[in-house]
Amino acid sequence: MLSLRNLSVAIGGHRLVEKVSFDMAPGESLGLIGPSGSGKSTILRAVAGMIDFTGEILLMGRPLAAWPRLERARLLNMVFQDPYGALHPRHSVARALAEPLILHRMDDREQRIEEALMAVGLPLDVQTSYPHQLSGGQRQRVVIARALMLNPRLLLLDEPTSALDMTVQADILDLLEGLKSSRGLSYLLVAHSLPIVTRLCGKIVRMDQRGEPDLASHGLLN
Amino acid sequence: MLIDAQNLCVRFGAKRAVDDVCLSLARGGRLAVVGESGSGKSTLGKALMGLVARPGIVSSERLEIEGRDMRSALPSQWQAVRGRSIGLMMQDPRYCLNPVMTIGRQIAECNAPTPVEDCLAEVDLSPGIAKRYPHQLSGGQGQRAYLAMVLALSPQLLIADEPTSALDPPLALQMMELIEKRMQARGMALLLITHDIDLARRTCPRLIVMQDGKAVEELASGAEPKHPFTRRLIACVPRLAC
Repeated sequence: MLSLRNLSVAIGGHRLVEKVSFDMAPGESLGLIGPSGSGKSTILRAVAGMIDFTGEILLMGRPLAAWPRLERARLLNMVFQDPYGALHPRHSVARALAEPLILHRMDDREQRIEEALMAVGLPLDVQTSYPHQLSGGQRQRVVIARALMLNPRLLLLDEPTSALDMTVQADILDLLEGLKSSRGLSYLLVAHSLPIVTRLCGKIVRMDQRGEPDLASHGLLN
Repeated sequence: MLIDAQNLCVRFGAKRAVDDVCLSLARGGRLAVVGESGSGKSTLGKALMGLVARPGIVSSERLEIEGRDMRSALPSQWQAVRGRSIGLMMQDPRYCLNPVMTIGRQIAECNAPTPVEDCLAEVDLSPGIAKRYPHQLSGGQGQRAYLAMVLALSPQLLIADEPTSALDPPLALQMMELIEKRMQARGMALLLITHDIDLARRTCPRLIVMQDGKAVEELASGAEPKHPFTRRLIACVPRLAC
């Protein structure tokens, strides 16, 4: 599914990630843990094609740069930490979910939106709501639904539950666990919390302050 | 008794953000208030410091701080309580520190008898931090610098409102260890406000669990919870799955 070979990222002469390598098979999930500033989210941004890097990122065996942008966007999608910042405040839920379908010129929009809402456990009448009318957990469900609109194989999850209350966090983790098995999704998950990572991922890479992977923990946990 | 609040209510129009909460804390004691966003726990902390702004209305059958009746206290009387009797530590140091003033000047502004360098040493920060501005500090350093300001006036009670939730786990652990160390050294009481019931149970011998403004349960940390919401909060704490 995804292979990183000596991935390094430097911005403004400052090295954020230093020679990170790992492999993820289809359906396999990997968690990146480590302190703030260790480069976890930077790795996610590199895989999403949002920043420049050196080394190699292979998506389904093909270098990231060789994928046409829209084709790549169908394969992987990102869920950010803060659902407040990830949704346009003046777009309704239906408009937010239609956005990827419009960009990719896909038909059956109403049906696809309804299917995505059902998949994340939201009622269909939420479509007319705006982000400020939803709870934090509902907003994060909308963000996850939007990430699922194009049926991706890989979700990049950047601290998807850390802005949420404990009970809402537990619900979202249940949802992510269910989606993983029902859709055969792979997750590349960034989290501070080891228990959250072990719940969703079989593999773990621990990053240190210098942006280097700790290879001792680079292996199967279960 | 350091704080004694009986049937404390905070109303915003028709909504009761804090609804008939009873709370007491002895000198040197520890109590945690646990709840989710919107449960009223931070509003409760503000009410205990006279910080609820209009249109909020605070009422109670009893509200005593160090034996003084604060129910109809004047702003100047609350001013005397804030900082010296009760210190407040908030979640995110970025919003508590003045961005255009060095840390040293901000600590000196408290007019504390202790020199700035000693205040910084109390929270394990080097004297050089005094010359820095808040944006030049890491999250953990910022939180320590803010704690140094709070401790400078030697309060009897520290209200710590989510003191670690903006920090990653190793820094959060260090911060809680630092707070505990200072509490023991000074005999200071702690009112910990948190969404993390695991942290509350590890830090305090007694918890009040809040939901929709009400204290749904008060229990000892090691006791078996009776209320379904308390049980759900405990069940939601992520555990290692390997």
